[in-house]
Amino acid sequence: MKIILFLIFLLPSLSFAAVEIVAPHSPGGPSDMISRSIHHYLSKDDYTVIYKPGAGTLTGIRHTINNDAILISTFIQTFVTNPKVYPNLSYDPYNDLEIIATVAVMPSVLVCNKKTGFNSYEDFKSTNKKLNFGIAGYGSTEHIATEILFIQINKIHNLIPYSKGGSNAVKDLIGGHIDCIFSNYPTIKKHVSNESLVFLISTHDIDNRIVSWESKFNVKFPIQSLIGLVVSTRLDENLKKSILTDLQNELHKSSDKLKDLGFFPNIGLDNDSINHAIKNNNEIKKIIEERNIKLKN
Amino acid sequence: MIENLATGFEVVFTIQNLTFILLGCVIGTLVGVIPGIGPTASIAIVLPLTFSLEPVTGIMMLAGIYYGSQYGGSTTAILLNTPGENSSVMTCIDGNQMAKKGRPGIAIAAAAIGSFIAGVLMVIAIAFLSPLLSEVAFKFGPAEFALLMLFGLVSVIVFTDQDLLKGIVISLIGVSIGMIGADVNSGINRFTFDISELIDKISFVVVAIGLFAVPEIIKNLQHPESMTRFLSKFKIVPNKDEFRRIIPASLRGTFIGGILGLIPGGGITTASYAAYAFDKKMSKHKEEFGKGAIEGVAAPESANNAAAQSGFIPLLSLGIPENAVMALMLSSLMIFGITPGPLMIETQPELFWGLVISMLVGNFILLILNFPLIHIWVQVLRVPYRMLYPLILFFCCIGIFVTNTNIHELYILAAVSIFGYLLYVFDLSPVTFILGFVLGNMFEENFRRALSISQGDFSIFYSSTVSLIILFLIFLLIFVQFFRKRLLS
Repeated sequence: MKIILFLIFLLPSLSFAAVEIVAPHSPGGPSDMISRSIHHYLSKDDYTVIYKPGAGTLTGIRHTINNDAILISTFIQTFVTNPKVYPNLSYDPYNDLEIIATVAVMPSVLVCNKKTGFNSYEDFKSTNKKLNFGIAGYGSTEHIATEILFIQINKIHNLIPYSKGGSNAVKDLIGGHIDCIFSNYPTIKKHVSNESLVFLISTHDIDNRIVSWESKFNVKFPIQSLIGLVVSTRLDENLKKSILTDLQNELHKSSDKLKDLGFFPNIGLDNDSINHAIKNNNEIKKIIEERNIKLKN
Repeated sequence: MIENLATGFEVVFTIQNLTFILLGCVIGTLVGVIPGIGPTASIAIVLPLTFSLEPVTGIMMLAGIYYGSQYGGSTTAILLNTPGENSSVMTCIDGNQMAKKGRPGIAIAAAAIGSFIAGVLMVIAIAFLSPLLSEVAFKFGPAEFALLMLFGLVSVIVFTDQDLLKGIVISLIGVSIGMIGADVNSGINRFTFDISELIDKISFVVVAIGLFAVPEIIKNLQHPESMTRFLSKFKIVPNKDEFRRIIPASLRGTFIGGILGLIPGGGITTASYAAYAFDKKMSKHKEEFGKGAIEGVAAPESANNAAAQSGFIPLLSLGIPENAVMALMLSSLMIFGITPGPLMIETQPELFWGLVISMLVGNFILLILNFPLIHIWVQVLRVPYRMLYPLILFFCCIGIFVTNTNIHELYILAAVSIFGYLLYVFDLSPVTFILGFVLGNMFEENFRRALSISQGDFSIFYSSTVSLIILFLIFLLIFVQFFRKRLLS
């Protein structure tokens, strides 16, 4: 019976009338996890998840604008770094795109290989050695978070960019080929018990095995890596209302799932949440400009 | 260990699970046969539907699609000289020649048997050697990986049948084309001419189809006598001599594919080429390679299946996905609340051992499935070519478009096809180009990454045991090949 139902349900999943939820990164990454978590609670007839990785999320953004889709957006990349990395951008972030919901904060965790000899954040901060820091590409959320970390410790270490997400950086970190990563927690969470790694500090209080920035310094980490949902400003109003209604009814149900995956749920569909996200983007943009952070090498 | 295997068999041998393994194998075979559509796209479509199933059932089906596609990819490579999967490129060389000589059934059978041997041996390796094999993967950092790609590039040039200078030039053109797009190490776009569709590099699938499928169609239309003919009677079961050649080639291919499949990125394609090149060197029938050597089918096909299955090792034992398909599997596991990693074998024994045994069962299913299907696939050759070639073109274009829904990839396909035809006209090898395209890009990325890590110090390329071994192999390869040629001349 299950087999027959499975085959019957296969057909509607191919429906081209469904609203697409676009994950603009490679499968297995944070946007994939969020898209799956959200899609789990939405109607499978009305919504479908598609992958559109490539060109630093530009492929996904362009598809979203042209196809009335919903984009799982890491706001830093969509609104702040892409316009700086790609001067001839095919979209205007604030005129062509509109944030309709915040979903989660992506905490970052400083992880080092045991070979470095670091046992605490203080050891890391006080080292005179130039460390090799893996990042998931220039302009990525991990890159910006790493640069902000360097500002906090008043030191610049060596950035080693990796393509196709952070998993190759994690592999090289475990193998001892690089020293540290300031990775997003969902990617690194499954390696917390790996004996060759040391978890020094996290931006949020997400795991009682890892010291959090706020508990250590009594202030929040300067930036928040927010992930949310973005649509085209030209999206049909009726469709937009229908999407917002569905999200209002279902989005909060994915909170527990997001927490299990390592995110910090921050679900908000109201104007305050959206304005907070825009303010966060502007603060990050200001830091990048004031500190002259290079988004290309 | 017996208990664990028993757990696995208990999980797999239910009507529901066996049915979904079969379904996965069938979907995978069909996906593999159609050029352009890869397992990534089909798994992405099927993935949400698996959430209504038990986690272990869903994962078993997805795994079946993946290794099933490796079986299916050889069919169009052999019959139509069109690789169904990226990893079937090398199978085109000898597989199609075997088909043209009236042995399509033996060629497809050799591919199926090679894939089966590799599949079974890799399942045993996963069951007993996962932690040890994972350690091998960690030994390969950017420096070691760059040297491995350099070894591949040198062997492409050394083993080429064509003129050495031509081989180098074509390989370098492939390397150059592979550079188009965003450079990871600097973030700068190279040779994109502000065309945003080129930022993410030219797809390998487009290049493979453009260099093989379309020129083959033009060649067949120009010279109908060179087409693969349908024969009403053909063998599908290899004889004793053929088995004696298939089995050692498959074992060598399995070993090479099993090791190279642990390395992220182009592991499967690199593995199938390495196995082909190694067998060409080791075979007693070297003169047959390129003209229909049975080892030229068995070796790359066993390597690609071994590499596909060895990709599960880092995923299950460490939670590290080696490629996009493994990343999808990881995503699926995490949505189910299952964390792959060293503790998974202890905390989720039913899932781990169920998956391992399902791969064993799946390989048996695919062998049994593929033998009768040979008669069906070969019927394709009965279709009049004036009807067949538009269908081939149609499926190639649909396959490419469905993957990324990017119309510009079809324009690139047209451009690559013209280039592929020119290679045919000037009797130049498309394989040399493709390998330069794949290996050159990975070599450059990792070479520069290694130098970034060492801050410009070249000693990173000879400071580890693995890198010293690979360097030794490169020098040995050059030394043996060129001094041998000198002695012979």
